[in-house]
Amino acid sequence: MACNGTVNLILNDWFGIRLPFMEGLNGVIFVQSLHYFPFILINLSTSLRNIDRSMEEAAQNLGSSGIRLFRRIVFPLAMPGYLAGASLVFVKVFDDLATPLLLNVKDMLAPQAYLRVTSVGLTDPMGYVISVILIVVSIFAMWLSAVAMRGKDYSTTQRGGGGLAKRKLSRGESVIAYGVVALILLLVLSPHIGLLLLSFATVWSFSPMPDDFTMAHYARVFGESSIYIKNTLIYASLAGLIDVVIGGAIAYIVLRTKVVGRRWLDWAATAALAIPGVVLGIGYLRTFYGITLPDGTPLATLWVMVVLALAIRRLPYALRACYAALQQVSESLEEAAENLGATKQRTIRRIVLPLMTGGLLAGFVTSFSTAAVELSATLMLIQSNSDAPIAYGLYVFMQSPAGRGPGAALGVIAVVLVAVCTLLSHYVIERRQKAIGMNI
Amino acid sequence: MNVSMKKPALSTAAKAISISDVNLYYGALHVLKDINLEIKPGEFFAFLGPSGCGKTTLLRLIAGFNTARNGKVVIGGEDVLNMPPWKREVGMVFQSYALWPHMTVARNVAFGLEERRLPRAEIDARVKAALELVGLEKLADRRPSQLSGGQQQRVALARTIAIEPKVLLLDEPLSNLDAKMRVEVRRELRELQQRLQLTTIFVTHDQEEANTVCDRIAVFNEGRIQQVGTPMDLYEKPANLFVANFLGTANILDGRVIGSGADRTFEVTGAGSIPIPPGTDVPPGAKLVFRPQYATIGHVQPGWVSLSGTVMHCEFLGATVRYSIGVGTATVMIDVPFHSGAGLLPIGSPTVLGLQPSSALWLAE
Repeated sequence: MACNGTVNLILNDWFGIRLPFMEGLNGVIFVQSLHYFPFILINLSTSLRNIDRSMEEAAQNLGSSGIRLFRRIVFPLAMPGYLAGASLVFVKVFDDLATPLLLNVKDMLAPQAYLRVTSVGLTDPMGYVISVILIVVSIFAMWLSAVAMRGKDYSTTQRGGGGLAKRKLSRGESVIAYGVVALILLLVLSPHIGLLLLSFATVWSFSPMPDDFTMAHYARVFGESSIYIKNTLIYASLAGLIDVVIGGAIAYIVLRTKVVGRRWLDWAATAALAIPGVVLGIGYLRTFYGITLPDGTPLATLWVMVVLALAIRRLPYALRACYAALQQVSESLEEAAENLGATKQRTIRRIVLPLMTGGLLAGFVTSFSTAAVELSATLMLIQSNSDAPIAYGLYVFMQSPAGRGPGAALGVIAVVLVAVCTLLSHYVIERRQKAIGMNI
Repeated sequence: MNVSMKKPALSTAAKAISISDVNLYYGALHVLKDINLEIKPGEFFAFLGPSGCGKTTLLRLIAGFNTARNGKVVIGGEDVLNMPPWKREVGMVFQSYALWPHMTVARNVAFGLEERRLPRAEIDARVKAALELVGLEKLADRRPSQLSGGQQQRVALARTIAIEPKVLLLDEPLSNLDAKMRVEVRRELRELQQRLQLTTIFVTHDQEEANTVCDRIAVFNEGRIQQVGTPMDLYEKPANLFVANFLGTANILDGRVIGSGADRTFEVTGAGSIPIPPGTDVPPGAKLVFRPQYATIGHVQPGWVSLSGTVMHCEFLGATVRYSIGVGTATVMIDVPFHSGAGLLPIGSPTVLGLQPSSALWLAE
């Protein structure tokens, strides 16, 4: 997509034009739109699925159809999901460091904070000013979406569920629908295709396709750079584990106990959503700055800090999964166990935890797979190559033209890692739900 | 102010509904089988039957949310089978009420009128009239979530009648209300229907609801209409064992027909025989059916037939005592009026049942 990317080269050959998709801010907007489009999609499709079918039928019964039906009934009812998705995307894009850095766009807040701290040093007050601005704007965006959604959570006032009726499309409509979906898929998948080609390419420059293919990049990545993969697996697994344990505990405390301040606990854990990774990294650096372990290692740059930062960054996602898992376990199941003589602890161990396994696993996978590709916080905290995860390695490789091949190979590995995890968790959860006859 | 005082009445013209040869499939499942039905203009008509019998499916077919392979659905002289729901002018009150939570009560009621692009003044007047009709004009600015179940039900009704539909369809409208509200609302529904003279179809699985508000009832089972008639007809002259059993309590005794012509008798398995009145139609495989109040215990009136039995159980119900009597291999229930000071028959004692032959029915499955 870039100036000399496949699409522009083809456009130039065929029509003699180049479109500045990837120039400066355009590139950031383009990449972020593609990257975070699933967030909106997932929220919106959940929202649409939760609309009681009779809501739509009642409107049809009263004479409404087509676009008017969509505009007056379906869209307003799906609005909460849309807003939730949009605010989440805003916050994530706002604090994203990796994309602008890789695209060499430096005049944005997150890259500025990073560059200030790494070039000028921790004593530069501008880094902290930018951090505060990042936090304030993130919290403001989330607050705004919460205000906009106040009183609009319709899921509880609708009884039926069941989603909208399936529509039969005419031939023309089908062609248009498939065309749009194919175009979107192509756009969403084009970076992956490009990455895959690049990872196998010997030389790929000023031509629509690579000149020749090689496995050398993978050999290099799995050879000398396998430390990145190993680190990623360790960091992301530990972060996922910490998240599931803490998330499960918080979910239990919030949903099942009357502990004073449990709501605050929930908010505090969720607040991590509004803390940009860069800010979290800077925060850690500042807090543990100058503290060294007995053997002389500075505490702030110890790899454990990366795990902690990742765990905190991903806690809100794991927490949501834990909430959902616990909500599925009817309280009467616990009461039945207690009624038969099980203590609270034993009830949790024998009844609650086994029934929550699917949800906990989902939480772990969400934390793991997003932590595996996180760059914002790690970039701040990693000091030596031997401690670096994939995302950091990818960034380092991409800094030099010679590193593009191995960088792409590392990227492909990251994509495969996340995809495998996601598929595996779907498979395990589905099997488990079938085995115990959910839904309870 | 004077203008708004002149309440524009909602005008509804009673239309007939005619359904012929309708069959509906969900995949391979035959859900509605050969439905033929005539509903008169202004009639309050019930679709009655157990869960899964096809009554709601047929209602949704009339509204346009289901499609049939063949047949006709004619409303007011117009075949609507291939018409989309939004063009049918058929008002439906959903079981869940389906009030849109993002709109106020008034906006909900105005929706159908706005879809018809009516002038604002007329919309306002009709919304007001519809809300007055259901007694909710003071709650026009509330959201559905701020209303009780009964109020939501009335808003759903007002929203539907505001468009002055050709017919009104009610899908189990009382099922989300508590017992007391149910009695109140069903009376209101009947009064409203009488006032508007609107052809109305009421889907329910509760025979008491159907009996108390409807002019006629169609009893459904397994996708087929079993019988159509007034509540009294269905109770007194059920067409088959299913209808007899579904409406009220029915005693059913196995047996077989012996003899022919005027000498036919029905031998109840293990309990004696009953002469079959001349001219009575007894279908093959028929069983003897009678209601608990049409028999006596301990004495047999002249011209009645007797069956021997044993008192198995008794329940004091206040005005009546319900005895369970073992007759041959079966158990029947007999209601006896309770008189002050009268004792109950001892459990286990032998007794005779007196049965009026004209109240006995011979019905098959």
